[in-house]
Amino acid sequence: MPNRRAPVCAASSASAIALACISAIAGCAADERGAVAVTISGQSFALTGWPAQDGGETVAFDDGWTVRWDEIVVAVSDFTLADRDGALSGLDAPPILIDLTKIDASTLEADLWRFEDVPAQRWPNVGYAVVRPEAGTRAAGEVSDEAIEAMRDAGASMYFRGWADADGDDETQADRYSFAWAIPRWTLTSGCQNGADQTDGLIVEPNQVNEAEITFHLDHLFWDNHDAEAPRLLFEPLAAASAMRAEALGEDDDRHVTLEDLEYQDLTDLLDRQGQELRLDGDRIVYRPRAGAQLPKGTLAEYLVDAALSTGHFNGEGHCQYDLQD
Amino acid sequence: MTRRLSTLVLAISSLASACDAGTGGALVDIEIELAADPPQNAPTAATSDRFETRLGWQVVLEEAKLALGPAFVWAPEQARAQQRFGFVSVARAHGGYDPFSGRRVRIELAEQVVLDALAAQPVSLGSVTAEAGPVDTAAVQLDPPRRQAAIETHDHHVWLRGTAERDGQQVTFAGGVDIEDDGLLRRVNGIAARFEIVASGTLTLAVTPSLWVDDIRFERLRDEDGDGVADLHPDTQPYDAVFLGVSDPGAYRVDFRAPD
Repeated sequence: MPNRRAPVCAASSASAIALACISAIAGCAADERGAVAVTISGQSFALTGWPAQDGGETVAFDDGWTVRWDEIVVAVSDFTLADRDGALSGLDAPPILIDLTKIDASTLEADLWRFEDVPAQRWPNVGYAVVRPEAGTRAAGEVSDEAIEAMRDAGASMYFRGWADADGDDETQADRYSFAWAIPRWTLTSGCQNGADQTDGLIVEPNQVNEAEITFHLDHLFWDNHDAEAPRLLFEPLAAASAMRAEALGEDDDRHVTLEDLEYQDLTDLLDRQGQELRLDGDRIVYRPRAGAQLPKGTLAEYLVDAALSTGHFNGEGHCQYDLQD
Repeated sequence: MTRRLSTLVLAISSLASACDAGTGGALVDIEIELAADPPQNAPTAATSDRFETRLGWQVVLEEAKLALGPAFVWAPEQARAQQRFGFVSVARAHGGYDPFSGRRVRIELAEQVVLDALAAQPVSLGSVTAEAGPVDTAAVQLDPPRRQAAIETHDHHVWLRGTAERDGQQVTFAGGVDIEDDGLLRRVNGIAARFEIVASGTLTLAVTPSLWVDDIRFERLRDEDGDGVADLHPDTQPYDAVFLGVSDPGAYRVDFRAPD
């Protein structure tokens, strides 16, 4: 099966071309107002897993694994619009729990908040939080009690549960692994780029509903390299961790991959399920975390937690700054 | 001492002033120096060249050099130099995203230098023109060595030579590591650097070379040519461990010392 991915352009570290301040928007619209409708999406991959069709291409894991989701539960809050001086627009966005796998397949998005009477201007600093749900946190749609309990037990802001199979959707399930990851930290995002037009933040146009989408890029969880232009999607080292922990503890491999299992994979010496150096097409695989990630123990568990908490984007491909919290 | 004029800082200042009044600082002269640090929280006495790794190897480094530069020290996020109000439609690369693109640069080391990670004392690079004000992060670029740097690092991004001993096994090693030109692999982002730049201060850019070798499994090094020295070869754990070590922002320290 061909492993295709949307084409990418060359990464650039150079700053974007700047224009003079668009004072017309900031000044003349001072008395005008618009509405902002905030939605959330896990894209089609939250519903399909991988391999999947995306824009006419097949997107698949580079090591041939199939990955499917049972639940992807996140708690988001505090959608924020701020101007360049840090002044906030005064939105009230209480926490909402949602299972991204339950989002309507025809729209791929679900409603979170709607704000009326927002000053019409450019708000260059857009942010939100991915938080730990508390008792009474409202659920948008169906969210399982088991997921909520797992998140509360772990102090988690995100919960991923699913299965993966080295032999595809094989009915024998001979190479089937399950996984469940309650991500035990939370994150503040800020300075989000608008993926719709590659500018900073959001322009609130007067007298209309302006759309803002929190977009979760779930493939980040499985990337091998956050600094490369075309990272690979891999599951092999995650599956291998299950056996590694079992062997270390003198237990049978339960083929259920947890964050505790991933503590046994050293990022400087990743192994496959045969206990050999992790290789793909003969090349040794080296995982590289996203810029600025702090991974003091250098384990695959830390790597995945950091990746999970940086899956949130804005209006599609818009990247944000991530401030991970304990 | 030589003066290095940081033209990029001047360009950013003039560009930003039209849009960012209040966040641009005065241009000031500061000194830059390079330094090497011993490992932190070492269980036994350690220096930058003699230490124990986390895998229990006693390492003595005889050479450790890094081709480094340019380097940048960024103002906080709020002081963006270039607001993305432009409408140049750029298809964003999904991987290799630079989270610091567009941030205001307050200090730039524009040239490539060789950092001797075993230098006993800091080495002055002279003075540069910087922008006064707060900063919160730094980055270094690790490009292929040029000119004098290439000589000192044997044409590699980083060059190491030394010995490692554990449980009676001794390994003498030497070799270089190179970093692919792919996305941001050659950029070390997210180096902590929270301070205020003032005139006549000194910026220190330091490395902790023990972190370059901390995860090497020396037992996997091989002396393939029988000269008594095991070489660092690509596509091996020791080689990749060094790559991850020099790419780790935690292996760098950026500090600022205000004048007395």
